[in-house]
Amino acid sequence: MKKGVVMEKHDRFMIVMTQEGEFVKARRTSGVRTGEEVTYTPARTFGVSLLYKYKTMAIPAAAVLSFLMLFSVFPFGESDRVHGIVALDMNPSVAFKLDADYNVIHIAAYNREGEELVKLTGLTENPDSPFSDVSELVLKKSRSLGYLQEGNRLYISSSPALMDDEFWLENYQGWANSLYEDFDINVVSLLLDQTSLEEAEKKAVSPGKLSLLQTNQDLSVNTEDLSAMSMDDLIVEDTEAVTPVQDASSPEPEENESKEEETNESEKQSGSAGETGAHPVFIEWIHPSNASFVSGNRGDNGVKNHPSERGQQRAAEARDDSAVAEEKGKPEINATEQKNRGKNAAENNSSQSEDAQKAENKIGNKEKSSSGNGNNASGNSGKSSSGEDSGENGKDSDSRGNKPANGNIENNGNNGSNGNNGNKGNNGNGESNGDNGSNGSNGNNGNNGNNGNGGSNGNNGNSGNNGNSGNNGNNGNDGNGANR
Amino acid sequence: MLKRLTVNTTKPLDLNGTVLEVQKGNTVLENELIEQYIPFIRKTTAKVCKRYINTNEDDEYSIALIAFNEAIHQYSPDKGSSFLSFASLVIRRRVIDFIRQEQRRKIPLSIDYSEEDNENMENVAEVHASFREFHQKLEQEYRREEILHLKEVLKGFKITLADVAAQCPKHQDARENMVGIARVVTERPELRQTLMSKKRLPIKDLTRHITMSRKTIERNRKYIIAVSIVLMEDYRYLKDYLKEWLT
Repeated sequence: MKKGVVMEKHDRFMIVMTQEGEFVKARRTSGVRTGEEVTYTPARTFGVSLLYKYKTMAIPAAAVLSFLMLFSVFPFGESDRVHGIVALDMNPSVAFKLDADYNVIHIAAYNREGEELVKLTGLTENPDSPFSDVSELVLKKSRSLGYLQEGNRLYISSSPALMDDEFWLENYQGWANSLYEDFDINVVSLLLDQTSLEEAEKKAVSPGKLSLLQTNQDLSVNTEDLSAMSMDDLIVEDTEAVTPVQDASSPEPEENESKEEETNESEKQSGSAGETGAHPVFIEWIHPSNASFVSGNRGDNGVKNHPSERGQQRAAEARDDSAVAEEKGKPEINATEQKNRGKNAAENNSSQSEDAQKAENKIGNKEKSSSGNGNNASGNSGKSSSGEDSGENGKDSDSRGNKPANGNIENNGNNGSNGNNGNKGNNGNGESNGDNGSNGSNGNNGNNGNNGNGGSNGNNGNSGNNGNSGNNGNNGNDGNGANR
Repeated sequence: MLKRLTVNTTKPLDLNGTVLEVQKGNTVLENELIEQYIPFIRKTTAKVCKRYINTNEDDEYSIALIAFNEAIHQYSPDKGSSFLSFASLVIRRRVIDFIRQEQRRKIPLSIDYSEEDNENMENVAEVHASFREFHQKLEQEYRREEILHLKEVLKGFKITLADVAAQCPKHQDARENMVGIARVVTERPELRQTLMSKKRLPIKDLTRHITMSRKTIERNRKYIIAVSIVLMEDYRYLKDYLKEWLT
């Protein structure tokens, strides 16, 4: 028992001073007077008295407690959780992360065009607005930028979580239909599994492209280059490895079949599908692990495109061979020629005057008559289906010179994937892109061009392609001119 | 703000100066001083008696006047925080003394006084016990007044005894350290001055005189102030109670 003098009396306790100078809060004993020496028991420092002690903390504590109670009712962070991902590839690659209410909570751009596109739409990275609004905004913007032109393909990759969602699926069908009608574009839908989505996010590559890349591992494209490539490039390249989905009617493709035939077949398939249905056929859900791919084209387009594509591809192959042969045969001449051409190309790029073009044409013709012919032939064959078309194309390629993206798109329709390699080589040289498009399979050359570039892009763009591009483009023009 | 600070620092000095002057034998000043502080004397007396003090009738008042006079002559600057504080303590003590005496004298002699009642007085042990109890009661009363005074002073620092209890170190060693700090404060005039006038512990200056960390002082600030006041003021009975600890 401790003794002390009562210093102060409160309702629930009293303050006692011991002989050792300790001031103690003690339990109140009845009938004591201030100044009296009493035996005391220390006050409890727990339970209710603890709350009284930390009175200042009571309100924050209460606030925290009520918060906890609130959030224990609703799962934590529900609103911010990613429900699904929808990625659009139309060369600008953009991915939207959606929450459970189909609000876009995050926009990710996977290549430079994508970034630009998002910037131009004026959307923030985390817009938190409905998917329909955001997608419409993005698509309209991309159309005005020329990415979505008639007959182009829009690749929509989405995560399985979304596709298991019936409500989403219904709306998606309607949305894709309206896309087809409003923008007059072909819609290709891809279904991705969760792991590839995650991997895509890790590598900062469009999930659609990555899954295509994964389906054929032997494709020698590294993920860094992937973002710059368009989906169409990948697909044409892919067709080598990817086996098209089999219709019951379509014959099974043999493994030995040549590239052209395979593409042909797949295109045919899609073409026929387009023909049978008056409406666009876009949605066939494919799991990438199945290594299958279906492209839906509008019927007439598909039919038109395919033979030309085939023809051009063949021509491209032929050209490739000749180009290679030539390269081996006269490396020195090539070098000098390249220089000349480089100059010309520079002029060509900057002014695109007809004179320059002619000059270049001459050089090109002198250089490789064989390959040039080959190109011409291919160019013609490519556009043989209609004379007017070719003429238009020729014009296009001229005017397109200013718009790199356009060049790509147009050429892709005809030529397939090689144009893009060329593009990479040129790194945005509009003019030369247009030319390269018709080069066919000079992908390797295009890359070489890049290596050599460094200093002057304008010149190298053309020279990089080993003369083919510059010449081809011109040849194409010549052909057009003749047509005109 | 500045004015208030200067007033606070100069006024007690003036009063203390006058008191010292009176102690030297200035009787005119003595009368002036007492007359000037009649309201204070009445107030203090009323606090002890817990009733209105009539200057014409109440004996307590004259006792208080005498006590005040005594305080003037006994006061020394090193004894308490200020003269008024000291004086109020003396007045309280004297008035309590007087009331005690009066109460004892008031016990009327009964006409029916019988030997039976006196019987108990013969038991020595009992008588001794009752005397001790009486002394304890008396002591308790004095302490009570001192405690009330202490609480008033602490109020000036915006400190309650509950605060002091909360900041009181639990270990004896620590408390002794605190007493050491309090002694430093009371023994150095400049520290005492800032403590009493600014109503806060001059922690920065203190750290120059002691080895303890600033944090330790800060943590036990209120306790140190309380102990300093106990040491400074003329709390005879409280100090008597704490004598073992304080020495």
